[in-house]
Amino acid sequence: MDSVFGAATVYIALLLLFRISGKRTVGDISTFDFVLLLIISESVQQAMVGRDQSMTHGLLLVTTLIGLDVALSLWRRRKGGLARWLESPPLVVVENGRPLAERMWKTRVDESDILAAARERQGLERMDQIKYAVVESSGKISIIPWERQ
Amino acid sequence: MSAPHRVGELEIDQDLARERRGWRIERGGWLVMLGAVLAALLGAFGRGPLSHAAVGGDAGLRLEYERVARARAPTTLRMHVSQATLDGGALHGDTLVVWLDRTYVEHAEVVRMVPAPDRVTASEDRVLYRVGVTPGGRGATVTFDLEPERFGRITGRAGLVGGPSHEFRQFIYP
Repeated sequence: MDSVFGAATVYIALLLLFRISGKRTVGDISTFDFVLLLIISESVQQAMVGRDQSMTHGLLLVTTLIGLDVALSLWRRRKGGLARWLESPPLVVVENGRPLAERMWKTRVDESDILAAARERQGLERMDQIKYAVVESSGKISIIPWERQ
Repeated sequence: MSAPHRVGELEIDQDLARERRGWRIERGGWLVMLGAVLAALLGAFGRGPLSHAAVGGDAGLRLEYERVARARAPTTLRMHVSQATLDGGALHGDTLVVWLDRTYVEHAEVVRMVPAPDRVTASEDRVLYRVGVTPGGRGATVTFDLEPERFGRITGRAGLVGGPSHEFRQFIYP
């Protein structure tokens, strides 16, 4: 019983914490973010597993976690209130070559992030070559260049 | 699924109202996180200034414990016995018998006790620990290192055979 409750509590708590921390956190993962993720998983793992190191407990935890993930993805498809909030929609931050300052500030994305994404994914050199930049639900920045004449 | 919105030439599921609501909730969430961290620093979740508590100041037996503790994590219960109480009948030869009520011991495991008891005995509703005391004229202190096993509110009682006892309440976080 406590295996299922433990896994469910950890799943829900992490889901909320990561959603609250915003898109930027899950987007482009730096080395430090990667280390941070490892530490987070380690801290939570100890609390979840506790003293019970049995195979049954471990498998119950995994089953609960995967089950919740499937349930959540099914629930999201209904696009209901809370389910919608849990998945943040994509957001245009550069429109027709014009950076939208407020949206960039709120999503904690700056021009250098957009330029970096433009270089990496499109081989662009300057802001004025970008038509649209979109912060996707996943936290990644996609770049659409002006069509080349 | 509804038709995607259009932003200029982009076919995109952008929803500004929803995005703004999301930002507000995000900011609220940051405040909650900050609050939780500050509360943790103060000891609202155990092991900090807010969580220390004591009962029975001058009554000859003083209990120090944690008001809030966590399940499966160490917590300490300290019993300070004054010399007056020892002289007043609590000391039997050079042994002192302290007790915890049985329901408390069933909720919290006694991991270690300082000094280690010579003998542990059970009565119907108590567990009794017999410890040696060196006459020094300044009272005695007995320390229990405990590990609560269940979460929720628990009430304990600790005392001396032939002396006073006190009740204490703890909240155990999961």
